Amino acid sequence: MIINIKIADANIGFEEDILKTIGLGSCVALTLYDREKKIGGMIHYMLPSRTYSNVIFNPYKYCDTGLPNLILEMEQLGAKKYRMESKLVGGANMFATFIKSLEDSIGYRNVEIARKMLKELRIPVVAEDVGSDYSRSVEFNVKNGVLRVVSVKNGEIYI
Amino acid sequence: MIDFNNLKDFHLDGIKEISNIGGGHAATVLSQLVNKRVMVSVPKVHIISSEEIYRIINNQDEIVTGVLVKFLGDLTGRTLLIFPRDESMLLVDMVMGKTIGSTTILSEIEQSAIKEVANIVISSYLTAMSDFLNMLILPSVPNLVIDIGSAVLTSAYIDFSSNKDIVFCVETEFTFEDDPQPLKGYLILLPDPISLKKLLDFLNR
Repeated sequence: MIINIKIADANIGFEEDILKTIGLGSCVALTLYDREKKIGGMIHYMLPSRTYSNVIFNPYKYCDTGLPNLILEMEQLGAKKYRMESKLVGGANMFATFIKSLEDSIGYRNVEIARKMLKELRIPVVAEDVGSDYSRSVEFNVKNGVLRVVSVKNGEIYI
Repeated sequence: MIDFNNLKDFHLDGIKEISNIGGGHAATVLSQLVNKRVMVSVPKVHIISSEEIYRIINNQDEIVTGVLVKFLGDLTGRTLLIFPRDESMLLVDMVMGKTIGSTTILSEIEQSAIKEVANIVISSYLTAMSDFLNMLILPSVPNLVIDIGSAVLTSAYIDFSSNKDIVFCVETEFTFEDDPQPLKGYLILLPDPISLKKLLDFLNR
């Protein structure tokens, strides 16, 4: 079954599922995969942390609240954190000429916080397709853990 | 911080009216560029959470041509002009005097033509507002992207706005009359919170 994930949302799939999200600009799709149990999860978050906001509507809008939530939900379905691997897609600067410094851009910070948190959680990042100036769409095949990444600029790649 | 719940109808109507003055000028200029009648919609004010901003346009999963212009001065913010990709090709045909339907790719020359059109349209929109408000508005050079609609809108907002929670924007639609397929574009004004405050103060006077 194809499970569509909207902006600022997350979902979990099993062996026969494909987790799909469209139009990641500065947003990031973070995937988690328990290869042994064939349980996969994906968040499509917009911002690094809830400090960017005055109100918390939705934990999956932010990496720092979304990632722990997703891990917890996956563990409740039988996945184990020590078996998880992660992949990151997105974090572009689409309007690159308006970015004053790369390090201050939302796209860059969205990727950096994920790398940092995953390192602390001891979840390895096994593949990435991040940065640059174009948007990406992702299909995560939970059967084999492979991500199909599609963009207007580069066509499709598999990571 | 502006409490959007406290906005009255006359605030919203006033902001629509200001945007309408800009939209009318922009449509006139666009009409002269393409030598066709251009219809302009009554502006819509959207106040929505930032994760929903992509809903403003109908082409969220399609490839669009988007041109973002920042503006500085007494008012600051951004203006985004969006055309579905195929329609931006028709626009290129019209402004470059080619047979309609002959442009099939957007290489550097075509992109440059679209940028120029966007520059003229957005500048006239902002200049008309500037004259009416008697406030200085200086547009930047345009930044063009050809990409998925939802990503263009979301990134144009979230990458640059200081309010990451609630979007306040004014949207105007352009339609070109008597086309085989009605060519439609969106002009979206994204004022910074401090500039929105200035607009509201202007209306409160």
